[in-house]
Amino acid sequence: MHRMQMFPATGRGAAMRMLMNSGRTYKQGEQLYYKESPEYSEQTSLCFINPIDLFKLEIEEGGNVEIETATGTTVFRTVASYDLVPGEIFLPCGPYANFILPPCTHSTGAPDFKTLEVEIRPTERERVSAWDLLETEGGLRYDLPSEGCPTRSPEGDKTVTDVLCPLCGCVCDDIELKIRDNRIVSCENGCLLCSAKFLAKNRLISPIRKTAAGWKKISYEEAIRYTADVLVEAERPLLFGWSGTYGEAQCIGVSIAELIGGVIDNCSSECHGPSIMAIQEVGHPGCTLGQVKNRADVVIYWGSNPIASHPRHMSRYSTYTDGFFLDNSFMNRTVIVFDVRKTETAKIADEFVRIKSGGDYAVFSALRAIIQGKGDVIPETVAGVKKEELVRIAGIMLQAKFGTFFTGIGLTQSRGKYKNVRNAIELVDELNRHTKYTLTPMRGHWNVYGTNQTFTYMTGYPYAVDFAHGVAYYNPGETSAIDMLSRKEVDACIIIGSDPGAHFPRACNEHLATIPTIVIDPFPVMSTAIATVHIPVAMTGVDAEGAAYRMDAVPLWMKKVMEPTQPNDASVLRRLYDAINERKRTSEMTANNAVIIDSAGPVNSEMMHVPLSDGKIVEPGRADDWER
Amino acid sequence: MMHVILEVKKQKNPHIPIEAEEIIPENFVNPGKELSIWRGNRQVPLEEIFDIQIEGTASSAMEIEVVITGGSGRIKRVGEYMEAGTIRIEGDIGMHCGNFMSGGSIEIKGNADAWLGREMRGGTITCHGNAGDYCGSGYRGEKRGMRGGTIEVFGNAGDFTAETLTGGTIIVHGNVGDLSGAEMKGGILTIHGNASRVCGNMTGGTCTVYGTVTDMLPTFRKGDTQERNDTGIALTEFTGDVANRGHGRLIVHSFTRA
Ligand code: SF4
Repeated sequence: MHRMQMFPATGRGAAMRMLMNSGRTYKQGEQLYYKESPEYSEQTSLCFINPIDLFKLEIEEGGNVEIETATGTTVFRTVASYDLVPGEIFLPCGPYANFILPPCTHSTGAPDFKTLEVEIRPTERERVSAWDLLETEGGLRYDLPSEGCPTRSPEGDKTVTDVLCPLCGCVCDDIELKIRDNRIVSCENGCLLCSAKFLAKNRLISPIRKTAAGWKKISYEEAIRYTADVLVEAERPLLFGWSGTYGEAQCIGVSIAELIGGVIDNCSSECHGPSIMAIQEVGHPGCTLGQVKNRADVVIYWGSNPIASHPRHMSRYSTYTDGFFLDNSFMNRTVIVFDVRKTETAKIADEFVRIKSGGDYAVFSALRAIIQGKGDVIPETVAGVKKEELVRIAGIMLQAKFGTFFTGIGLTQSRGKYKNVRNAIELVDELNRHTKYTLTPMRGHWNVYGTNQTFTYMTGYPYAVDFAHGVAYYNPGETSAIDMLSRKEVDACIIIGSDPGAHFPRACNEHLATIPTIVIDPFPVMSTAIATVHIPVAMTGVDAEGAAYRMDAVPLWMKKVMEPTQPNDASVLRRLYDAINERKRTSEMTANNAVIIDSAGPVNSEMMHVPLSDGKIVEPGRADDWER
Repeated sequence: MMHVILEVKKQKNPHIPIEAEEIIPENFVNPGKELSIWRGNRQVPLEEIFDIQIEGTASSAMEIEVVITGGSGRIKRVGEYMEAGTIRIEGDIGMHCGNFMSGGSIEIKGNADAWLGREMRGGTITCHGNAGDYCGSGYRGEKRGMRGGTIEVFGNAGDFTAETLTGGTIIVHGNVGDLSGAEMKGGILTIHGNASRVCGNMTGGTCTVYGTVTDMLPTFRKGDTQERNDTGIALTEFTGDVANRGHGRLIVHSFTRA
């Protein structure tokens, strides 16, 4: 079916051109481990819009709109919000926003999740489900009823304290879990995102393979053999994800990439990779979150909305927490938020500076000049902010005894990408001539910083590492996942600990759906739809353990609270590594194997001609022999 | 004089990138030399990718012209580290064409992908079509980019054109993308079309925009020469980037503020 025909234009009010920003919402975050549910579709197909624009479109709140870009069109439900300025809309990140997102990254690795021009018009048509979108992209839905949760508690019912939360970059370490009948039944201290993840039980039990007749269960053996075969044959394999798994598994991943001459990339390439590129240019004036907690009297969130993305960040490390060197911390800390919309965080901040979408770079430059005493060159307004306002805010910044910047994906995913962060660091540099300032990127996934740490100590580079020539080469924009997929150069892909099906631009998923794609994840995810094989694993922090790095690079040990009945990421990868080695030893590249690559067709179920084993299906959940 | 004609063969999977840093005139002085290139993660002989035709003889690279024809839009690193001779590309060329080149010339009839002439030291590159992002730029984290030579683009050039330009000349006859001339330290960047947010954090060099700069950065000081008439176009001179304590020259025809 031609993509555009799926959504014919209808409507009453005139179409309007607007600027689109997409990002995290609390409700979207809560549904991250329930992506197969209608609620996930509901929460990611909303369009937040100023009532003035609703009026112009001649629709009521709750009415549907079609949003169109050069890449595609899809239907959203409107939600009125005064937090946005007229002319700008906000979409929760997920498959809907990404369905219309062009894959262009301006050769930086991160696409324009923010500041994207779109056309919006009212429509009578209904929204489709997230699975529908994935099927339009060439996938096959996986909506079989869940077979439950494979965890075991040999000690019986218990309460576990000081558990680490495997969700966001805060990696809170004070979670209390109650376990009854081999399942987690309650989660204390964590935020809602944390409970949602710990209480999620809709795990995938057995490896599955896509066939012309639908999903079919296969054994772990078969899944590994298939994956090894695919990787050995591939000329441009990509191993993507890694931020949802622990350091030990990431290290094996790097070894696999080296063994197969592949590219290994992690989620930073689309989130905080630009922050790292900036750090490579001008350094990282960082500190641990403990320093911020105990010392910072000015806290600046720039392009970050922790209430939605890192819900306990403010209470554990900044705004609301007691500081050892700071009397009456709550009263004596000044919180400043810079953003394009009045986020939940902006509403509780002491100062909120609204910047025109895409104007951050100019504002950083202006602040730097003002702090140098060269405010005379600055024009009356900069990106929608009045000069007096900037002068006043610069004054507050300079008053700080210890100030800190937390920078979010509002900077890394908008126009200018890493140059925004670079300019932020240069501002910190300027402020450090007067007082003490630091900057910490608000890393998203619990172990996304870990990927940068492990990749760097193994390869010298933090992400987007290309081993095609046997040595590590790094160049985001060239060797980063979104760019490689949109150029269709990848001919086999492993996705682990990430969900590009939900978070990559549509063109990338369309390509993944034509090549052998293997997903390694505890849950059925959106990427399952575009995969040929999905291998379920134990979930880190519940029935698997390993090292993670918090957003300030402090390494922490993610404990397990129960025993697994499934292999963990590291054991699957180790088996894969061995299988690839074995395969390389025993067989030269034979013409017969080249078939795998040749058969790239529109549906990747056609790509399953890999010689399979006896086809014996291992009883789901029986993986005991793995660990030995 | 020697002509080496490399015609790209039809590839089974035309999307797999090919890295051909061995395609430089120097390498054809001895026609018996075995050359190899990379197709994805496979190292293959040059003949596997190209039909090769060699006419004439040469005693040095200066006497060699390499002509690439056919679908070369995915072939990267052609002319990398070249020192002398000529490369002529009849169609499009992939990323990193002319990286680090220090002499000789490259002519591209079609479009060039990103990183054209990255960290170039000398020689000339002429691109008749458009150039991608990072034309004449540096490498990640590197303080200095292109240091010498000339790049002339007759079409448009992408974002971050002339990033960290330190020496040499880049001329773009069309428009350039966002943040071109960022962190410029020296050299000359001339843009005959439009640009946006040019020369952020520039510390030296001269950039002239004969078209309109959109979202002009707020940290450039209007210089002594307020208006001047050069080639019939009114130009205003700025110095900056003030935010970076820079003394670069930014000369623009007209501009809008963010
Ligand atoms: S703030 Fe982040 S790490 Fe802490 S409980 Fe919530 S999701 Fe987990």
